[in-house]
Amino acid sequence: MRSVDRLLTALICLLLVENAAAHGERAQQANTRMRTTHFYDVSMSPTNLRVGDTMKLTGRFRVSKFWPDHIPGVEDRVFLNIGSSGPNFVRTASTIDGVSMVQSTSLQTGRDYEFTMDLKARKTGRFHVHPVLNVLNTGTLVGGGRWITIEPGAQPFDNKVETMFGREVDLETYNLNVVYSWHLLWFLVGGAWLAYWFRRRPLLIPRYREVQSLEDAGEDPDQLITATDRKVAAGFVAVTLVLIIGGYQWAEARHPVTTPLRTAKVDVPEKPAPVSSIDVKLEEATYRIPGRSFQMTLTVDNHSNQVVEVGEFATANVRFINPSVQSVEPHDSHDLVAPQGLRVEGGPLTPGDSHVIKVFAEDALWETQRLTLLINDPDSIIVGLLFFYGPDGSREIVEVGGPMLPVFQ
Amino acid sequence: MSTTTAELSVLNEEKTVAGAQRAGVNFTIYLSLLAGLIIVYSLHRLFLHANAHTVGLDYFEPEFQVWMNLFYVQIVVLPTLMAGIAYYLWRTRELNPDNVAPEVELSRYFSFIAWLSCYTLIVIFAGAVHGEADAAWHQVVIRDTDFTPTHVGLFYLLMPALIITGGGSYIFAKTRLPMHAKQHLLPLGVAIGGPILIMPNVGLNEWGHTFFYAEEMFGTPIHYGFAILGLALIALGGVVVHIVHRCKELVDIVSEREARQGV
Amino acid sequence: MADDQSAIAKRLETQIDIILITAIVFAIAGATAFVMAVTMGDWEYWVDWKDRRFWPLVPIGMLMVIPAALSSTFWVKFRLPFAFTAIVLCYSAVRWLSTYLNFHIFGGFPISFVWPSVYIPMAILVDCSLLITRSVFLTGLTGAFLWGALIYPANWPMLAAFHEPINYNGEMLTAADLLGYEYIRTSLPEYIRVVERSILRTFGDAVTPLTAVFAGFLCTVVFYLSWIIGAIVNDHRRWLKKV
Repeated sequence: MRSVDRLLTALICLLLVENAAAHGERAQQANTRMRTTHFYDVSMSPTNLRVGDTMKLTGRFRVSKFWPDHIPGVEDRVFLNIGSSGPNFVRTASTIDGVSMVQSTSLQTGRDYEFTMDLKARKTGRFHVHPVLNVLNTGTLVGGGRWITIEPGAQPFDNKVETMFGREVDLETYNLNVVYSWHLLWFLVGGAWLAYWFRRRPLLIPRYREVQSLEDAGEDPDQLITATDRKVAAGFVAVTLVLIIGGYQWAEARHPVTTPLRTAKVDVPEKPAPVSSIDVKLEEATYRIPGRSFQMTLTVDNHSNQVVEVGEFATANVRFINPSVQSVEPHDSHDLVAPQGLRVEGGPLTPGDSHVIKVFAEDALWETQRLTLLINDPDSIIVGLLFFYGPDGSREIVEVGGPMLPVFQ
Repeated sequence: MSTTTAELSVLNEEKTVAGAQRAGVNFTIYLSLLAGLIIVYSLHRLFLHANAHTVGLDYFEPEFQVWMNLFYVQIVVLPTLMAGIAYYLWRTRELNPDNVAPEVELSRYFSFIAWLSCYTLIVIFAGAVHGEADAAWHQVVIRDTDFTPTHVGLFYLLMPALIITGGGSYIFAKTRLPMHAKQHLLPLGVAIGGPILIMPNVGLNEWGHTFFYAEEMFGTPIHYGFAILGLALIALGGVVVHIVHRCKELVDIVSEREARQGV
Repeated sequence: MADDQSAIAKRLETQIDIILITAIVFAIAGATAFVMAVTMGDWEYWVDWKDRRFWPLVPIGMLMVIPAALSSTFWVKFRLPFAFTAIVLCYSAVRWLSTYLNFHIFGGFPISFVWPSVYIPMAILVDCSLLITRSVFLTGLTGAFLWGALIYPANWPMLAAFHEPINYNGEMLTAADLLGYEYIRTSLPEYIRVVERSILRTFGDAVTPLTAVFAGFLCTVVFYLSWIIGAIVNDHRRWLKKV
């Protein structure tokens, strides 16, 4: 099998267009990307590893309180997953708020969750990896991605686990010899049955002629079935039943204890909605299409005991950074960060202060990420996370949202 | 088209050692046809393996244009081929179906079976091999647009190929086989019409995926339209019986004549 | 020297056999694999879908349709009782091709995760019961019933190992569950599996035997219906003047 794999790989390399790569999450409507789940603090480390090494993926997401009513929410079933164009990694562990996510769970709207995943590199190549959240009847919600390079390891990949009976097995090739053997056996038995009938050549027209002539003579064509045919058939029935029953007994003896597939739902402990010491009200949001300029007018009440200012606005995995507050650079070519993308008029807010500020988010990412197509959606609600920072680096996250008005000229 | 035994079609004649002409299948041409289809599909398939996971993941990336170029070539070439074949079959149709020599009719049945073999080979490519490539693809990627690498092969190469070979089989029967000249064989219509309707059913599939199914379960009601149309291939059983029935009669006449003439 | 008539006829009939059977093999393999893929593909693709309640019922019931419909043709017109075995053999060969090309090479999954089920033994039983009883009615009650009832024991020699429990970070999983968890399917989350879940209405622990009996009954019904449909659709004397 391995030599066939190699031959195919060689042929495939002949037709390779270029060794570039891309990823795919921009097909979803802009408004649904903005108002379902906000992934943030996504980190993957290391981003260069060898086959068999483990990469740690961590991050947080907030389930939007602006989640559209007509789209099924996270309260039913969700599953923490990975987008990486195939099983390039083996997922060895995953958690949401510390709870193992082997099975699916349910969450609450408006809450922040922390997730982790351990991914063991399996295939060589360069892959764009995203955390994703599958939501029942809604689809795949995608978090920010990173390019991960996997180089060949010292050993070929294996995935050994131990069963509860102390047997060490490699899931990559687990029980394959048994699978191949039984399939081969049945192909041989089935092939023998067909060979018995195709021993007469030519078959179709002579057989048809015989049936027709018997019917024309008013006789029963069943007489074409001979006593030998019946004996052979009885033999095949006996062999088949003996093999099925024998095989079943053999399997029962080999695996005396088996359990059904596991389907329990996992519970993530419920928690209260995040309490904010900063209240934000969206007064107006406009998007000026010619200048790719998004502008929000916000009334902000700072109930905290420190000065805060807006350092970041994040929506649909795009991060607009206020350079006067923090410096963030993209990790790679597809890290959706606009390091100079955010400008705030109205200045920092002192404790107890309440005033109107204007936030400008300007970058080509609006277009390349197809967020400007919000105006083509049947629903033009814009939602994002505002990150307020205090002088000591403390951070408070507030979700803000409301209708957006496009400015065409 | 002539109806004398001297003008058996190229596909279906073979020569005896003495050089006399007699009815028979030309297996070189038959196998070449099938091999040709296998080679074309295999190349397309290798292209899929080479470029789907690299430049085929995101319709909105510039590199994806490779796939769209392939798509544009296909949607120009295949309908043109379809029209050309249909036109050729119609132009060279049998004008005197009541007076076709049995040898010629038998040779045309061989050609008809060759058409059906090409059609059913495409059924394997489309239904089994590439259809499940699409299944595997959708389950490992995030659904992008309707123009995924596997759809370019499945919906815009193999479905038109299914229409060309299936439609070609039908037109061949209508224009050359005397029994089909003035009537339509119901099983043949079902066995070819059903799978051809899979192409418009793509509309239901994609529309449904847009609105109902975010996950990629394959055995799902939105796919049952495909299943019903695929089940129409059951009717090939009736086509087989028709072919066997008619060929039995023709073989009786032709073998008797050839034996008498000492071919 | 010229051949005699029977030799000429034999030559022509052999040639027809070769090309017609080639077309039939392509058709039944392609059509069956396609119809199965879009109706019950998921149970065939993934070992963590091969449960005790749905996998022994849905795929086997669906796989009955094409063999039963074409069996009516090959039995009534040719008295050849091999349609089930021929179709299932061709289907199994194409499924292996697809498993290797699509799920292993293209999708990237290990074959231990995506191997197909075995159906050939049940197909032999239906063909043989048709031959032995020479009765459609009795074949429905015997062979078709066994076709549905025996899928679980026939596949258990391969499947049992995948249901062996594993202690995974303090949680008990089967090897099949672990394969499903570890080998990432981005658009096929765990919850989408249509597999047995715990309910109050089981009779003791008799999930598998009850499913087997129901699968047998279902397959008997599908066998009769499909046979009738095959007989109607495959009437080679049905001609239409207009379409």
